[in-house]
Amino acid sequence: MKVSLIGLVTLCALLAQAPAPAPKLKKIGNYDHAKAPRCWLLQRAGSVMEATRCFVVLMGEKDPALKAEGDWGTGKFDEAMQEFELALKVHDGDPSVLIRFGELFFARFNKPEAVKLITQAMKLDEGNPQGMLAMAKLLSKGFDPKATELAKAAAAADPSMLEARELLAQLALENTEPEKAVEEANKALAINPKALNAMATLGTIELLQNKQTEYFDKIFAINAGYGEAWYWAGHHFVLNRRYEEAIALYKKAVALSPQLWEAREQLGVNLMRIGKADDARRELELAYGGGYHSNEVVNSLRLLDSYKDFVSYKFEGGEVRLHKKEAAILAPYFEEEVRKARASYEAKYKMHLETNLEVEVYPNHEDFAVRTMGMPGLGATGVSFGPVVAMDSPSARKPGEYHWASTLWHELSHSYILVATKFLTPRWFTEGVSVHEETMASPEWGDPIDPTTLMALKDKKFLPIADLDTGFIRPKEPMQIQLSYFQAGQTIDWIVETYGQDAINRMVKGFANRKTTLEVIAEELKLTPKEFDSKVNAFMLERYGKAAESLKVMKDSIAASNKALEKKEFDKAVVEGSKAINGLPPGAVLAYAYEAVAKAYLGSGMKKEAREKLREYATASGRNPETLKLLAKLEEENGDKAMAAAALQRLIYIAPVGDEDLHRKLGEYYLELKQPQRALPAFQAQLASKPVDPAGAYYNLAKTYVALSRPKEAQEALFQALEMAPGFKPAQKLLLELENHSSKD
Amino acid sequence: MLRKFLLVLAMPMCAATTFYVNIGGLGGQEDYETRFKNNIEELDKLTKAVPQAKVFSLSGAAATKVKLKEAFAQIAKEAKAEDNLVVTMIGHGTFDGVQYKFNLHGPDFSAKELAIWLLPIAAKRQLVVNTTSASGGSLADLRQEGRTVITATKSGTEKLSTVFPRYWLEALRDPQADADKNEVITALEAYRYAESKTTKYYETNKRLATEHPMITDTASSNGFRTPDPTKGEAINAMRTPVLMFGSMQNAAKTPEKQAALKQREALEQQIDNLKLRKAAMAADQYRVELRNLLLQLARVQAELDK
Repeated sequence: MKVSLIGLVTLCALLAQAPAPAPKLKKIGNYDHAKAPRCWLLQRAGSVMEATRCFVVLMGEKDPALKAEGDWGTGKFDEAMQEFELALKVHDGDPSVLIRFGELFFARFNKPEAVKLITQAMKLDEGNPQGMLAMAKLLSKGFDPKATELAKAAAAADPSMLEARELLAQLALENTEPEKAVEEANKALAINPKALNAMATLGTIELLQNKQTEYFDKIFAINAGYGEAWYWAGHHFVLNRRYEEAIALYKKAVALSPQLWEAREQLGVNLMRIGKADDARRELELAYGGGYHSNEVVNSLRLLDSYKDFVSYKFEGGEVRLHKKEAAILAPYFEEEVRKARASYEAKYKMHLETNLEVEVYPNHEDFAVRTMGMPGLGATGVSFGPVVAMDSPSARKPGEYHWASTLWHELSHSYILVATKFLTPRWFTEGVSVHEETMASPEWGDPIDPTTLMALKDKKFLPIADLDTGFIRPKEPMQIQLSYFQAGQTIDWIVETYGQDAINRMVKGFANRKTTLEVIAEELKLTPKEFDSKVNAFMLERYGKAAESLKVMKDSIAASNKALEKKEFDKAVVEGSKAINGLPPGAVLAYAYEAVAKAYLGSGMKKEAREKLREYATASGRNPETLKLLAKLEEENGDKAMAAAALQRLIYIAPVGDEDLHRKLGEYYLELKQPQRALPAFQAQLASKPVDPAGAYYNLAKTYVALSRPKEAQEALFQALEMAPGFKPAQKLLLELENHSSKD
Repeated sequence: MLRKFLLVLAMPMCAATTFYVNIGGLGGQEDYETRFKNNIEELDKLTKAVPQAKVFSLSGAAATKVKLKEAFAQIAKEAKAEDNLVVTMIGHGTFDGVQYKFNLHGPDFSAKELAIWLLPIAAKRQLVVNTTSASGGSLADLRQEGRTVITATKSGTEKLSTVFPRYWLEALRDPQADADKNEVITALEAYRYAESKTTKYYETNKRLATEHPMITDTASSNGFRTPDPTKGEAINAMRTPVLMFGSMQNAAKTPEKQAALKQREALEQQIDNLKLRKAAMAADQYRVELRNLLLQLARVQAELDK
């Protein structure tokens, strides 16, 4: 609905000025293109009665294009659709009908159909400014960089087109280019000094900088009921992750315009983001009741309905919400990591969060996406809304492709950096710190190096620091987001290695004091942007340059090794696979190279060598569960249960759900290693995994409680085991031991 | 409840012969040939270790329709009512909408034909485990009163290769499958183990399940995915042993321990009866009584194990 709102803003501004610039629309036959805009202007000026009368008059017109506008204006959307269908036949070849029909589809939450119709119009009239603008608005909803190009083209084609300038201002601000946003807004104000949306953008820029602003007073002096101004301000605060303030702005928007459903939708979605489910439901239900059945509203309400299936675990400093079906498995592990992350970050960033860290974990990725965006289809695995984090459960992803603890630490790092910088951090900095923290928690965490990144390094595809934020917000290539994460992480690694953690803390303060990236770099690191880029690039090349240059050799060698493996030519497989490993720093090797060589060694019966290679595989962030289990088996065969446990412990962070054997085995290792405190969560997770052998699982738990000197819990677990399996001999033996022990006491 | 039935079974089971028919079908491709061969070899090893077992293993080129018919005819001559019969089919199956067939070298055999071969066999506890693709299509033809039939798929239309046999074999070698720890793996225990692992395999790997195992043990039941014996489902399967192992075997072989064994069985009977009365008892009273019985049982077992 963002498109229509931009339209509202502009038309309202047009109404406010005198004389209004005449729309440059073609006349075809009896179709008077100026009739409908008059009604819309009245409506948007708040003249409800006059606007309704105007639309009713349109409904009585013979021309279906005008009737459609009348129906649309009076909320008869289905009828409007039918009339536009008819209008397409009557005004065959009129792009303006196609554009308006497309805009109606977009307003009624059907983006694909809107794109189709507007594209059709653009084919008929390639340079149609209204068509370009409509498409720009539509694409801007998905943060498509083409939106800016189209808006620019529309403004160039029609220099008096206020909406295009206002949209360009909005897009520039979305793109964290406030100077450009000011420039475009001023151009809009030059066209019309009462351009309300341009003023809203200028006011938002000042609010984002925590400055006083008079722009909103000016807006309301022109149109006292212009809630859209607060709506747009809220939108930009959300993009800057300032959710609490965004919510306050959306509340102002709906207070001024109670039927501004877009604002209610966003108010609801953002209340959900900060964990206020009840308040969110109220706003979303109001929007739904108002006929605003956007995907965001519908999806969010459905998700809220599913919250009954989640359970909450509270502990000092945190809370974890998990789906019932996996809560008992994951709760101990999530709690442990939240506690550890909190302690680590508070020491490192020298700050204390007053609020609890809240972590929501979704076993269905699309639920997480809806929770985050109101819409499915999100590529991310976790999102931080300040102290509230939402993320995928490990069960939401295929085993081996997701490291949940890495994501958790990443998101919790945002929680600290966002608060510490008063939400004024540039995107690259907070993402960079988060990526950096992943590998600080453990060198094996974080994303392993991959061919795309190595290729990008070779091809010099990384952005200068001054533009790095755009790599996250408006990527020009599909892989640019991933590359920007990598680059940001490397940048923070370099800063920490070169200047120490204190430099990061000083930069945090700099951003909190509203300094820009370039100012902070100049003040804290004493570098020009060019010097900074050059040094970071040298750092990345030192780490990965050789691997990037050897990428083809690496890929070919791994392929040759796997081919030899298939033919059971194990010696050849070792030789080929080793070419992809030798001579490169361990962190720069593609993990599956180690996997191939290890398999080849195993094929030759060289278990020791295979074990060594699999250890390197694990160190290089190799995450194939079967391969890590194989490593554990080889370690056990070698008599090293500590290493076997370490191999399996990695899987707790990768694929802990649906694998009772993993938890059982891990618990057994820890018991044998006399580490019952680590065995306990493992056996609890085994029991929670609906084991095929529940009596055995209770028995394991009983043994652990005995080792932990918790006899009452041991007896209870033993009772459960023996109730299921009275003839369970080891459990019987333990029962007698406990009985003898208690009778001695 | 399970214990009660096993106790009824215990003595005859000890004296009975278990006839195992392990059938490995035509692989068609090297991968499958190797897999089926290995599976049958493992199954042979497991079943041959069972006391009083008589194993008929037919796989690869040796598994022809004629030889299978002969094997079943032989069993029909030898088996008595108290004996057990366990037929395991590992290979590819097909279903044409009417008839299920198991792929062999030479002519295939149909589920109907297998049912006819099984008819003259006197063993009252029979188990047919059909682990093939489309095996659900054999269920209707094979089901019979007193015979437990387990299939890897719910119907003949689930035609893709199955992972169920992997977990069925795992059930027979994993002590965890013996859920009540009485050293007998019953058809129901093994089924539950394999079904659970099969389901988790698809869930964990985020794959659409292309097989849904089923179990039936009456002439009329269409089968259950997750049977609940407290509702009278798969009761016969609870009584049908697949494997016995450990000291239960030794106990069965050692006449001097029969007295202690009887005492143990009496206590187990009391425990079962107590569990049946659980819902009608005060929780504390139930726990006290059960704990006492469990302690007595543990002491008797300690004597038995000396």
